Amino acid sequence: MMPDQEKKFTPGELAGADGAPGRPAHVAYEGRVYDVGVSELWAGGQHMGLHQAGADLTAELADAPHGPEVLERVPRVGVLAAAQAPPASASRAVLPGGSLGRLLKRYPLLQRHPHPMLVHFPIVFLLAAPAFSLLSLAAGTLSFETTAFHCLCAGVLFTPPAILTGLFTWWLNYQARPLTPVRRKLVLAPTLLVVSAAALIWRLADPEALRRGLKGPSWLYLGLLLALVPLVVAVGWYGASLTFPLHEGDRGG
Amino acid sequence: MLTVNLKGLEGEPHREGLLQACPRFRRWLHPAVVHFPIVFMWATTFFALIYLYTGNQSFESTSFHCLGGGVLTTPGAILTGRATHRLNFPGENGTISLERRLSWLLLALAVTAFAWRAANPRVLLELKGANFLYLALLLALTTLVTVTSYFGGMLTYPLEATPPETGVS
Repeated sequence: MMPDQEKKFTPGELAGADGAPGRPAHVAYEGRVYDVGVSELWAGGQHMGLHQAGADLTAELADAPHGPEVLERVPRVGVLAAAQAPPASASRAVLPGGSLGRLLKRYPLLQRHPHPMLVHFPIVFLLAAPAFSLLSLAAGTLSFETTAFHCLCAGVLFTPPAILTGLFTWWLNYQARPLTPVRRKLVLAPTLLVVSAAALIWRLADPEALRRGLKGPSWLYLGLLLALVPLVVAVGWYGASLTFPLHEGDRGG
Repeated sequence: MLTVNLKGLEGEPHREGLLQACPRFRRWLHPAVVHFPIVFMWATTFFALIYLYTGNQSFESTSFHCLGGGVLTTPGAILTGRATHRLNFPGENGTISLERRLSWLLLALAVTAFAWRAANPRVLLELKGANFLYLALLLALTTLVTVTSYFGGMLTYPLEATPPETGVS
C-alpha cells in the first residue's frame, strides 16, 4: 500500500485500538501505525507488562532491548495523522560499512546478543568465588576454597570480553550516547576487573591465603572477595536497567 | 509518579503488595536468577573436560560443586520463569512452553548426574563402561541449557526481521 493511500489514524483512534476485548491492538512508531494484535507477544494489548497498545511508542522503543525492526513482523495498517513524529529512536543499530557491516547484516545475532550472553559468566563466577570461599570457611572443607579459586580465575578471564562486547553494543546500538547506566558501568566494570585480578594474584602468590584460617592479611583477601559482590550487583543492576527500563510506561492496570 | 502494572495479580493482595514495593520484580527477577543455572551447568561440563584434559582432580571437584550450584538454582529459575510468564506474557506462548519443558528436563538430568556423582565420587575418575554415561549427562546439560537460554534470549532480544542498512554511520 502506498503511503498516501494508507489510513490516517487520529491520536484518538489510535488510543481506542488498545487491544481491550473486541478492540484492535495498534501501536505507532515514527508516524507509522502497526497492528500488533497478530503477535502473541502483545496478548491483551500489552507487551512485557510494560508497553500498552493504543499509544505512540516511538520514545519507549528507544529504551527497548530490541530495535524497531521487530515491527516489520506485523502488518503496517496506516499512519498517524498528527504530523509530530518524534525523532528516530537512538537505540536503533546503525551498522557500519565495510566487512564489519556485512558480517553484522549476515549474522544479526551479533548485533545485540554477544554482550548479554557473555556477561552471565563474570557475574556468576565472581559471585560464586566469595560464596564458595564463605562455604569453605563455614564448612571447613578445603575443596570449596579450590572451587572458589577456579571460579575467580574464570571470572577474571571472562570480564575483559564482557567489557569489550559491552563497549561494542554501546557503540553499535546506542551510538555511544552518554547514558547514565553506561557511564556508571564504565567506572564499575574496570573496578571489578581490578579488584578481582588483585584477589587472583594474591591467591596465586599465596595459595594458603584463606586455608590457614582468618587471621592477619587473610581478612583483607576475604575483603577483596566480598567486595566483588556489591560491584557485580551494581554492574548487573545498571545493565538490567538498560535492558528492562522502569519508567512511566509501567502504567497501572 | 511511577505506578505499577498489577495485571495478572487481580485478587491477590499479598502479591500486589510485593509488586508495589518492588516493581522490578515484574521483569527483573527471572533474568537475574537464570544467570546462575546457565553458568553453573556450563561450568560443570567445562571443568569436567578440563579435568579429563589435565588429570588434575581438583577440577573434577569444582565440576561437582558447580553441578550442585546448578541443581540448587534451577528450581528458582523455573519458578521465577512461571511468574514472569504470568505477569508479562498472558496467555499461551509456544516459545515459553518449550522453554518450560526443556527446563524440567534439564533439572531432571542435573539431579540425576548430581545423585550419581554423590553416590560414586570416582565416577569421572574411573571413566570406563557405564561411567561414560555420566560424562554424556554432563555434556547434555550444556546442550540443554544452551537451547533453553536461546529461547529465553529470543524473548528478550528478538532477532530483527530485517537488519538495518549498512553504510550509514
